Amino acid sequence: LTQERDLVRETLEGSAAAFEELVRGYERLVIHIVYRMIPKTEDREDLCQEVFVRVYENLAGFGFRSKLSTWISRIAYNTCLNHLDKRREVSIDEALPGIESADQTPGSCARPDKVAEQQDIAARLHEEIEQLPLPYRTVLTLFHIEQMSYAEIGRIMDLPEGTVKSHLFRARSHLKMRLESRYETKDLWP
Amino acid sequence: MMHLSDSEIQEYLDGGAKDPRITGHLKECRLCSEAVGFYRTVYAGLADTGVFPRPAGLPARVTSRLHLRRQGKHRLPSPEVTLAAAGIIAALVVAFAFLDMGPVVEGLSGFGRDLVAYALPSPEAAGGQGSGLRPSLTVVLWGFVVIVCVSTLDRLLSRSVQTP
Repeated sequence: LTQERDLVRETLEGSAAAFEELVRGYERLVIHIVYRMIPKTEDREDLCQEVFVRVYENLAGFGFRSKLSTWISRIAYNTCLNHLDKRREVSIDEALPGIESADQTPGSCARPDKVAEQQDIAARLHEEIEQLPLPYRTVLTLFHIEQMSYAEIGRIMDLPEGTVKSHLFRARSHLKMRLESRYETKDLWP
Repeated sequence: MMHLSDSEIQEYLDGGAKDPRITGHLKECRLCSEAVGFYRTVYAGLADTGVFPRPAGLPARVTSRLHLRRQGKHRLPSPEVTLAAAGIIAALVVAFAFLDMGPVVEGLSGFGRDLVAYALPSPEAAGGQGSGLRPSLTVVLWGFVVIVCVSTLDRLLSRSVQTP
């Protein structure tokens, strides 16, 4: 945290090296959010740069009232939303009601009998995540990859914690159902 | 006990309160244990889905984008163009002050004629030699020319210092 404060202070004092260090520290986080939210590959890199330009331009107003990662994530999230809104590629509530969220009991689903390679499952999940509505893709990324809490995700996406939790639950249930219906269970379970 | 629901399993895996009722049930129920196992596979897979190719040299690209944006915000015409514009304004002020502008004014029409008529001190002076512009306008224009020249020379000097 002290190092973070130093980087922010030095950046505000005009040090390009400090800002580049800060970008290096958070590029993974920004890439995860932008790449998950933006479907067009040709727009992604440009948006990553734009996020950090906005971070730089607004850094003086940051003031460590929240975690730097939460603040940067919020900028990344809003930058992507603005971009999508401008292009009218997707609405924020895109297809939310279309997702089934059957609260199944174990007895109602098929029993997988073989564990597939973890990488293979990740690749399959990746495909399925791409098909999910935007808020679901975003909560999954922030929770499972960035390991953020419900509260942090809520602050980034401007959602109540309960909604974050419900998005997560629905997204994972949907993914589980999709994996079960799309693939032979033997591919996924020993 | 009934089988665990999806939401109970997810809450259990999310690290919520470990309800002894749930942990006890999982020890006894093979179906629910398998469902938890399946979800664990999904969770592990989700954690592995964040492998995106990193754009090369992002920090340097951001810095250069910021630099370009800053230049764009304060972009001025080149010093040569600025000096040329100041020179034209100065020449016009001098011309109005010392030369007979009557034929030029008569050759104008519409907005140009109105503009010159406004700039000259009186309608009579419009045809007179060396009539000059309105004094207030003359002061403003000379002031503008001086400021432009000084700032442009400053830019030219700083440019020559920065250029290796």
